[in-house]
Amino acid sequence: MVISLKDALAILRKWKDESTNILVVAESPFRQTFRGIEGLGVRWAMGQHVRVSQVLSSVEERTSKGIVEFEGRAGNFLSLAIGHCRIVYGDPREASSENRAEAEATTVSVLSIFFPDEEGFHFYELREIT
Amino acid sequence: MLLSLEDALTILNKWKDEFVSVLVLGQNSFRQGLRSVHEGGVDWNMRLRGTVSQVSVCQGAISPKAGRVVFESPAGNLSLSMDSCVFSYDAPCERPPFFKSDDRSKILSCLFIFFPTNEAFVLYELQER
Repeated sequence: MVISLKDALAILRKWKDESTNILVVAESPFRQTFRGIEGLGVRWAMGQHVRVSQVLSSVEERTSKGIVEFEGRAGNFLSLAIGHCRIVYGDPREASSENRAEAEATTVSVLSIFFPDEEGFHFYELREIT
Repeated sequence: MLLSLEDALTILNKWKDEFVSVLVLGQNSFRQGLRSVHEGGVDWNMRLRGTVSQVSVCQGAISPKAGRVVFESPAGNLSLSMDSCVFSYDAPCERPPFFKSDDRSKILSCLFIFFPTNEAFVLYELQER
């Protein structure tokens, strides 16, 4: 489901407040599904375990609207200016039939952020293992 | 100093063989140099600290020959397919201004990788103090 920037920021703030464990998987350019670095024309691909460290929504219209930052172990870091992105929210029940069982067992939801230059960042809200 | 793909792969292979600690900064766009998203004109920044785990040559989508490099860190990985990229190498080189100083390591050199799409990755060779 395509969601607004405001709704995306609300989800990200909730993840920040709850210190949610997130797996981010990204690729450029992203086309429908992940192809990996061996996919024809893929320039870069990454995967990291992170948590939301900062969500900014209205510091200054042109520079800081919709900025979200993530921190991982060993100083790993990711920051995105998502004001002009297409944002899709999904849950594991929407996964393909062959992946659905694993998706439901390991993830709660996924927030996908697509930039106009075709980078796709997918943030998987990981299920707490008890 | 501008480098060829072969020279860049030689450096990356050396870092791999010597288990060099590498700080990788990625950014789109790089039109105004290294900046944070807070400064405007930048869609995203990423930073990963790890080591080079794989270096290879492959068929490019744009040019006949491309390079591929994989970085591994304790919590993630990053792979680059360097097709029609421009490479620049500096030693010594400066730490980017918007990153906090890190007394645990010293930057020995840096390798800039510029993609035709304005994405860029800067690889800093670190020496642990």
